Amino acid sequence: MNASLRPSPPRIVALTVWAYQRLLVLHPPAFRRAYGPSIVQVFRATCVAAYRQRGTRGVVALWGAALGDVARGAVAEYAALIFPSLKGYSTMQIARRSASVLFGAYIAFVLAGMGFAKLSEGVMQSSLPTAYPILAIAYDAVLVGSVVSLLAILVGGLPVAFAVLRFAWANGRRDILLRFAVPPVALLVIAATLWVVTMRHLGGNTAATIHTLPRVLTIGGLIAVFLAGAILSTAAMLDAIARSDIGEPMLRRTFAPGLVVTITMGVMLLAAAVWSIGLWRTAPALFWGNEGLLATSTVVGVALYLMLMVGTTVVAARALARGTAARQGTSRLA
Amino acid sequence: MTHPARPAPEDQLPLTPATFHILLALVGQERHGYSILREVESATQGTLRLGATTLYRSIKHMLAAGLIAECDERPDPTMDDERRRYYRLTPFGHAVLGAEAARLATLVALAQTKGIVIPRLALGGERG
Repeated sequence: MNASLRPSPPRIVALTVWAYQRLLVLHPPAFRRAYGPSIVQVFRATCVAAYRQRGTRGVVALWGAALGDVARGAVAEYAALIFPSLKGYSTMQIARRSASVLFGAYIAFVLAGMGFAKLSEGVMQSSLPTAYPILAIAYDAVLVGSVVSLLAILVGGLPVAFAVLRFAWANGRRDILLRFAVPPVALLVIAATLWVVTMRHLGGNTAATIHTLPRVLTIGGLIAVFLAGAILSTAAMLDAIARSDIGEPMLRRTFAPGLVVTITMGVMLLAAAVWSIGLWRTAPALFWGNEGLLATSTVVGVALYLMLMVGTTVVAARALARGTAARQGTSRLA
Repeated sequence: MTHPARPAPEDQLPLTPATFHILLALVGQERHGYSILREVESATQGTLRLGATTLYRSIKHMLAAGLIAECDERPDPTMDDERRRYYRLTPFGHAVLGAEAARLATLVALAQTKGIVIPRLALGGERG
């Protein structure tokens, strides 16, 4: 049939393409914006070809494969957003990325751990740990783990920090040096905020004062400043490393302390879980009570901190595994 | 800011079947999405049918890795839908395709040294 005499696509094709277009909402927005129109165009052409070959049955038969294709693509694209693929990266890039992700995961774990420590503070100051040693043992394991992991981070991280500083100084890289100024400035801001909060006499955790608006806003503000300072400082350090040419061997040397950090994170996570279960079994009233920050639910706080710890431990382990695998790959090629 | 070294073709291996066939489809010819789809289906005699999403996910990765590039001009603007995007193989993509073909050839050779009889597939060749 001559192309000019060919009828316009029938209603079934138009309807199928319309429904398919709606289905693409499952894709992440950025992917949809970049490729959605092209995907629809290809699907439309496929539909028209199927209709010409087998009519309506041909178009309907496309749906099984199309649904699977869109669903698989959506899952894979969202997974790629959470765990970006390192395929095609040089071993240097993988080493830097692995070390950076591990450090970032550790900082996030520490923040969750601080929340957990704050939440367990009241319980640990009571007579419960004496009566139920499991609480004391688990809590001590978290404390020991935090010291060990901090030492490992210093062993792995300080040489990298000095190497970055040397590189920045030797090459006159002010942009990198400026990034090193972020953590001290953040610390000063946090200390100043803490001082202001302390001076404001907001009242203690009494029924009359605990949920007053000024107190909630002030303590919420302090937490926000603290989190912002930690996030900005970490980002500045990671950006400084990304801007420096410090060599792959230096970054690879962080993997051994990184392994210690990751194992310690796992141990602390386990200890925190044991402590939580111990509290649930020995003092259910406290577990289901409001021992959290600003007298919020204990169980919600515990669940939140444990989830953060699990997530950051998994991310750290994955980063370490990727970095180590890339290192082994290099060895094999050599 | 330092610029990391460009990855070697071997860093991209192994390729997925979709990526391998899309690269093959682009050898010597610029193509748009649907044309790639048809070419892959034809070259594999229908054993590999790419969905539209899979095709563009592969294209996205190949663009990011520098294996293919989007063409600025369409081969024949008068004969074509102006919304179509055309893609071409880059020299790096060509090198990666060669490296993957070599990798597959090495695997085949290895299997043959172990006495594995490889049946001839009906891709234009005779059985025997």
